Formats: sequence, structure tokens, C-alpha cells
Amino acid sequence: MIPRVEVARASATRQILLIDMDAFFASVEQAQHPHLRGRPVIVCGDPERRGVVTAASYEARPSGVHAGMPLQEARRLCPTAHYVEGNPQKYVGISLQLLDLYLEFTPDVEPFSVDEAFAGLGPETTTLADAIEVARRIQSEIRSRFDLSASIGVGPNKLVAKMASGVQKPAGLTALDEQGFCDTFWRAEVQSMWGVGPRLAERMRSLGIVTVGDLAHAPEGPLRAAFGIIGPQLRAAAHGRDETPLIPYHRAIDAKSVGHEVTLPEDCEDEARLEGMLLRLSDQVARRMRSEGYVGRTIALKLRDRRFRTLIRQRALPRHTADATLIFETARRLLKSNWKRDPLRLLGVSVSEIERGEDSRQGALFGSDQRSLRLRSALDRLRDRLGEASVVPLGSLRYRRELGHVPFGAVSPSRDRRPDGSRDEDPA
Amino acid sequence: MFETLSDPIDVLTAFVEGRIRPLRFRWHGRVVRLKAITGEWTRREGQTVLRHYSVEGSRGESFELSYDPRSARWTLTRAWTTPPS
Repeated sequence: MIPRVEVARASATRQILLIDMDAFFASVEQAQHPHLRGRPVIVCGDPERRGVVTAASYEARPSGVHAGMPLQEARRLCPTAHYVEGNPQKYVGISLQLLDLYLEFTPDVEPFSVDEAFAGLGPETTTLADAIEVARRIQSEIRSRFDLSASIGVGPNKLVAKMASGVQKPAGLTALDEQGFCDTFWRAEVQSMWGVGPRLAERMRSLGIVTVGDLAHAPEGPLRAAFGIIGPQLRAAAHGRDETPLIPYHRAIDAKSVGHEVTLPEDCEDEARLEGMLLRLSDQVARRMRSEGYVGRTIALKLRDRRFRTLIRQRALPRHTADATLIFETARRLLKSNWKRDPLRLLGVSVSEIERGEDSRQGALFGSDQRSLRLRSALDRLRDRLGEASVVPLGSLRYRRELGHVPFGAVSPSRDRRPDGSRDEDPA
Repeated sequence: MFETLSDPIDVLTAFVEGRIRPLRFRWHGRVVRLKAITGEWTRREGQTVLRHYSVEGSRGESFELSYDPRSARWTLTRAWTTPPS
């Protein structure tokens, strides 16, 4: 497909690209499996179980299917689609190869998500025309090496590049300067602004701010009164101004939280089973934190019932930790004190207020604590060497076969078929 | 529909310019000739970096294979053998 190009005015500042892979997961499956090409493809967890749509190909989207939709509804809307179990490791692997490709064009590459990345072009590429040429070459290389398509936004900053990338999809190429940004977006609803979610948009509408242009022309005083320090920043963003730095790929980006969640194969009100799942999720979270060198202080439990009502409750610990038992016990207490015994469809555990560091466990003066730290360290070394499946908590094994798929959940899962034909869930 | 598998398989393999290329493999008593490698990626499992391939069979089938360099063994991990409708 030949990229369509929209250009608005010239510019003489540094240029930034936002490269957004089109329907990434579904497109990877179509590229790798010829029988899926040109057909509606829906990537999900195990298609035989309950879950949600992870990604829908462009052929499936006219049916109304979109990411996050329950599979049951997707099947009703698009019964002829191919339902393919997603492979997070594959998508991450392809994403890393794409980052390597971008690094051939510029050292300033910042991954934004598994399917999006910012690329800052060097001082020699100062005009939109130059940047468009680079963007075209990147699109061409993505097509020839991976048989995938990308939509690229070009702009003087990350905000403009990001919003421009969504103007033409798939395989679009849109370049805007600040004035071009205003011409393109001022008539759009304020919720189309990057970073403005439904609640913020609702608050803005209550102030009479309906479009991006309304926000750009709103007086600063009321904005500051309503939204605090971000009020003037939102107004500047509505003019296409953004000073967020591009953080290159090779520099570590500290996470703000670490979490895992699972959609249960069927609504569950069995407390013992829920606790088994909590143990598994807590173990995954703690293991990931330790492997990435984080400790955290605030443990959050996420519950979602069959009516999609979501409850998040959290508790701060007296000290930072990356200990699975402590995370699990905290999450279990949160479950006991907040769960109304309604059948649940989703369970999640996350840790926030995280920082780089070791799990000091001040109480490790006692022999038993030292022994458990040594044991945990030995188990971590075993997992480092043999993989995540080599050691799992016994309490989570009990329900392994019944657990649902956890997209991007496991650090390094393996999956084996049993002699009776049943299959183990990723036991990370 | 794809079938998720974990079947050890024998694979006739070429080493081309420092890269491993599966050419054909034996599965369920038949030899599957490969028409194309349609994708490659790696996955770390402990200290081992597994190499994964998506491949197209000569009859239009789709497969995914993985190669464990430590044991020099291949595994068939996914198969779509139903002819396209």
C-alpha cells in the first residue's frame, strides 16, 4: 500500500516521528500465516476460553469488533473471523527487531508501547520534507522486512507527532507543524487530545470546553482553577506545544508500577480458588520486580465482577518489598475486606510506589528471615537459569489447568500438553 | 484453527550466512517441506535464548517451530493444517 501523505506548512525545528504499527498483533499473525491474509483476524487469549479481544485486524473492524471487547460479543458480531491465540513473546520479539530497524535511522529512539515508538531525527533533518523522506524509508523497510504496515506522524514535538500518527490509518503519513496541528485538530472534540481521557473531557465540557479549539482559547485563570498546574499545560497542548523530552531507547526508563491481571475462564466465587490465583499473580509480580531490580510499597488489588464493575483497593506497607509472600498476604487481606462475594470475572495485583533497590527486609536480623531470603535468592537463580516454569508456588499449581490466559503476564512461560490432552497454563 | 503443540520433531536444517534455516521436518510420519519462512523471533527462557520460526508448508499449511540451541532440539509449537476455505 502506498502511504498517503498529508503535509501542513514547513518548519525549521527538530522533527520527531511517532511510528505506530497498524493493528500490530493481528497484522503479525497475518504476515506470518498466509491463510489469514485478507481475512478478519481477532487476536485473543485462548479462543476456547472466556476472555477479551486483544487486537482486531482491519478486516474485522467494520463488524464493530475492537480491543477490550468480550470474546463472546466479538463472536456474535464477527462469527466468520479467525480467532488466534496471541503470543506476547512473539510480539515483543518483533517489536525489538523494529526498534533495531529505527536505530539504523537515528540513535534517538524511545519505545512508547509494544507497537509504538518515537524517533527523534538529528539536527541535519530539520524540515518536514526531510522528515517525511525518512518516514517513507522507514515505512518501506518495515514493509519489506516484516510485511507489516505502520502509520507515522511527524511533528516538532512528541504531542504533535503522536496525534498526527492517528490522522491517516493504516499506512498513513501525516506531517504537521504547530499551525498545521491547530488547523487539523481545533475542530475536533477535546477528548481527541492525547492525554485527555473521558473524565477529564467531561469536566472540560462542564466548563464549556467542547473542542480542542475551545481549550486553546480558554482563559488561563479558570483553567488553572479547575485543573491546577496542568490547566495551562493543557491549553499549550491545544496549540500543539509540548516540551516532553524524548528519552532514547538505550537509557533505562523507570517503571511506575508492576502488575499482572487475569480474566477468569468463568465467573468465580470460590474463595480458595481466588486465593490460589492471587498467589500466582503475586508471585509473577514479585518475580518481575526482583528481576528488574525494583522494590515497592503500595499493594493494589483489582476486582471486576460479571457486570464489569471494577473495584481497586490498595494498602501501603511500612517498607518497600519485592517479596511474593508479603504481596500475596496483603492482597489476600484486601480481598477479604473488600470482596462482597459476588462472582468475579477478573483479578489483578499490582505494586506501586516502586523504586530501584534491594528487598532489605529490615527484620532480616532473625535467622528465619535470613533463611527465607537465601531460599528466595536460590529459587531466583534457578529460574534465571532454567526459566520461569522451573519453580512455581504450590498453592497456585492447584488451579493451573483452570486459569485463563494472561496476555503479557508471564516472564517466560512454557506450555506443555499432558498425556490426557489437557494443558498447563503458563506457570510463571 | 491453530493447534497449540509441544511436539519434538526432527528438522533438516541449513546454516546460511550465520543463520539457521529450517528446510523440512518430519511430523506424524510425513515429511513437511517448507515453502517459506514467514517470521523469526527469539525468546529467553532462563539462560537459553530459543529461536522461533513461523513457516509455510508446501501444501499451504502454517506452522511455528522453536529451536533450543543448548540441546540442539526442535519443537513444533503451533500448527494450522486445515486447507484454507
